[in-house]
Amino acid sequence: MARARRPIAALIAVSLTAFGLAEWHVLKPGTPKAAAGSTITVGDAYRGETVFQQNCAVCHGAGGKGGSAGPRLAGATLTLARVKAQIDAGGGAMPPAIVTGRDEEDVLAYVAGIVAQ
Amino acid sequence: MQFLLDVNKTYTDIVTTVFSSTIAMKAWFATAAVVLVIVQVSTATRMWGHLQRVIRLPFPVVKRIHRWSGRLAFVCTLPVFFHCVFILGFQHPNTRVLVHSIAGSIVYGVFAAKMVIIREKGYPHWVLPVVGGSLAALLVTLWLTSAFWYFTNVRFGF
Repeated sequence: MARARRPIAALIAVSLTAFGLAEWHVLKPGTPKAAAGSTITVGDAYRGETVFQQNCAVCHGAGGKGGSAGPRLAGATLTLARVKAQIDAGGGAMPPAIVTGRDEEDVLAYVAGIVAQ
Repeated sequence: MQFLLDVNKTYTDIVTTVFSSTIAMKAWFATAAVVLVIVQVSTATRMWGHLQRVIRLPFPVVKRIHRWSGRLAFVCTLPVFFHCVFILGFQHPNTRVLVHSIAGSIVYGVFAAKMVIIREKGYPHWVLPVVGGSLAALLVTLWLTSAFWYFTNVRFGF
């Protein structure tokens, strides 16, 4: 009987450990530096990556590494305020408000992680 | 805390030298793991006396393929586990993510249970196929709620 408990004990112990680590998720990206002390709200960088791929990557390239119509964002020296202003007002070939609301906040969180601040 | 942020940044930098994003990396590693899981299920079925006309290989070869495909599948899940657990964490904004988070939390538990059952003899005949099948089903569920979703909703590419 005790023998039969070992796989169940392993299942429970490892699952709880994984759940605990996932709840802790120690490497969760923090608030980007550029947003500290400012009024810009940033959202979920993970979701922002997906929104970016769907709405922005067609011009700025996958991962913001540059595309046919938009400039390279990865490694570019940009503040979040500048990025937000560009998203809101548009400019050049970029239409205004290409993403808004939560999508914009999430994209800002993602972009904050790829630009040089 | 700065150290942790540096780890995250370094990890992202390494991943994006090959893939367009960390999510794309996860999707492809998960896909590789699921392909290997199919090999696992096929070879396990053959080892239990089925599919003998489909897989015409001697038992020792099938056993070796089964072991190595399992090891490789496990290795493929490690970077995915690292990203999901340490960076993203347990989330539940919608059903897909909730199912993914729950399955992800217990998949290594089932894996550990399977390893215990393999190492220790004397369990009923049906236990190993049931646990192995559950592990395969969990991995397929994880793939469907992550990589498949990514390929069909975001982009199909590296």
